[in-house]
Amino acid sequence: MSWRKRFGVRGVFWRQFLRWATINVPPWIDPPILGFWSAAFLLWRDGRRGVMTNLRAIKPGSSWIVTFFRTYRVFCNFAWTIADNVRFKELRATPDWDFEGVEHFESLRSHEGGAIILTAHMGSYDLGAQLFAETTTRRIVMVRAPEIDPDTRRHEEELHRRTVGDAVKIDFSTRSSELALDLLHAVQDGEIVAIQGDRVMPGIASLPATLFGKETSVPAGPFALAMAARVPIYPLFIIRLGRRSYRLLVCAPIEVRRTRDRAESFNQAVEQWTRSLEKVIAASWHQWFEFAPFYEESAA
Amino acid sequence: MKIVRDRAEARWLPSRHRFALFRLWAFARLKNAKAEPRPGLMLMVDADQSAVESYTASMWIALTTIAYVASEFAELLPLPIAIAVAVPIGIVAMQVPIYVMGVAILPAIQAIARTRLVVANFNSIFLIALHVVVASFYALERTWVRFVAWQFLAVIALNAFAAIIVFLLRGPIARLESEYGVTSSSAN
Repeated sequence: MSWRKRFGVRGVFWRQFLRWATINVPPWIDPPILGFWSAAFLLWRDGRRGVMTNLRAIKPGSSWIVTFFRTYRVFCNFAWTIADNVRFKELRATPDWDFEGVEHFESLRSHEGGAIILTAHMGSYDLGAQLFAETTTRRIVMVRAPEIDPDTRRHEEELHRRTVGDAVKIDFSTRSSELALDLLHAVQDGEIVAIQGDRVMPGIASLPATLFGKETSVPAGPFALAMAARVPIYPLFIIRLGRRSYRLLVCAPIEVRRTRDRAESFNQAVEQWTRSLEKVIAASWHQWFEFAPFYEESAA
Repeated sequence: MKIVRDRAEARWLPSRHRFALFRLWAFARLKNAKAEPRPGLMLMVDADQSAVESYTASMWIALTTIAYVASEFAELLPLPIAIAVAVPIGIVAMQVPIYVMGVAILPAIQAIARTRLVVANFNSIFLIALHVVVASFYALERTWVRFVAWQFLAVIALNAFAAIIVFLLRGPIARLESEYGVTSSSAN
C-alpha cells in the first residue's frame, strides 16, 4: 500500500517530481508541459468532482462540458501556481507583482502592533507571504492545514526550512488549543498572523456563513483572535494574472468589535469577510483551489 | 534580481527576454514605448519573464514535434486521425529529452566534471540542438513534413541573425535599459 500512497495525488512523489522539474525544465517551455500534467491530474476524481461542484455554485446554469473545461482551467492555474512557488523557493525566480488596494497594504505595513491577514486558497499564498515578509521587518506566522501524507509533510517542511528564512513561520491548524495561545502571543508581540479563511478543517471551530447563496462555514479562529487581541483583520488575496505575474489585493480591514453580543459581532465580521471572498472568487473563480465541495448539501 | 517599479512599459526590457528574436522585438517596442506610469507595479528583470515569448516558443516546439509525430502516423492513418493521435504523443515526446538529460546525462556530467551546472540552461541548449538534428532529418523527407522542418531551421537561422544584430546593438540596448536602472550585471 505504501507505493500507492507515495504515487497517490497527495503523495510525496509528485512534490519531488515538481521540485526536480522546476530545476530541470527550461522555464520558457513550461506552458505545454504544465498543460499536459494538469490534464493528467484531471483523473483525480475527488478533486475534479469537488471543483466541479464548487463551480456549479459559483457559475450556476453552466452545462457539464463548460464546467469540466473550467475545472481544467482551475487545475492548470494550480499547476502554474505551485510551480511558481517551488521555482521561487529553489531558484529565487520572482514573478511580477501588481498591487491593488495599495492604501490598505500600506495601512497593514504601517499598522502598529499585530494584525491578522485573512486569505483564501487562491494564487500562491506562499509567494505572497514571502513578498510581504521582504517588505516589512515584522515576522509572519502562516497558519495552514498540514499535508495529509506524512512523507509529503516532511518534504514540505524540509523545503521550507531550506529555502525560507525566519521571516515566515508556518504553523499548523490541527493543534488548535495550543496554537490559539501561540497566535495570541504572536499578535500581541506585533507579529502578523496569516490564516486561510475559506476552508474549515475537521476538529476546528467554525462560524456559519453564506457563500454564493449556499450555507457553509468559515474558521472561527481568526475572528476570535481578532476580538481577543483587538487587532484588525485584513482580507488579502493573491491572484495569478498570467505567467509569472500576480496581483496582491488587499481589502479594507475588518474590525471585530467587543460587544455584549459576541455572536452578532462575529456575524458582522464573517459577513464582511464572505462579501470580499465572494467578490474575489466570482471574478477569479479559476483560481480558487478548493478541491472539496464548500457547501454541505453536495458534501453529504 | 533587479526590479523596475511603477513603469508598465518596462515589460519590454530586452533583458526580460531569452531569445535574440524576442530581445530585438522588445528593444524596438521599448524604444518606441510611451511612459506608462502604474503605481504598485513591480516588474522583475529576468530572461524568462516574458509570457508572450514563453507561450510562442513553447507552442512552436510543441507543434513542430506534433507535426513530426503526425507525419509518422500519417503513413498508417488518415491525416486528421494521425494529427489527433500525434497531439498527446507529441507533447509527451517533447518532454522525454528533458527527463533523459535531467535524470541520466547531466548528473553524470556533473559527477565527472565535479561541478554544478545551471541544469535548465543546459537542457534548453540540448533541446534546441536536438530539434535542429531532428529537423535536419525531416528536411530530407519527400512529404509535407519537410516544410515543417524547413520552417524550424529557418526560424533558428533567423534567431542567429537576430543574435548578431542584438550583439551589434548592445550599446544602445544597454543605454536604454540603464534608464530603467538595469545594467548588464544586474540583469539575470
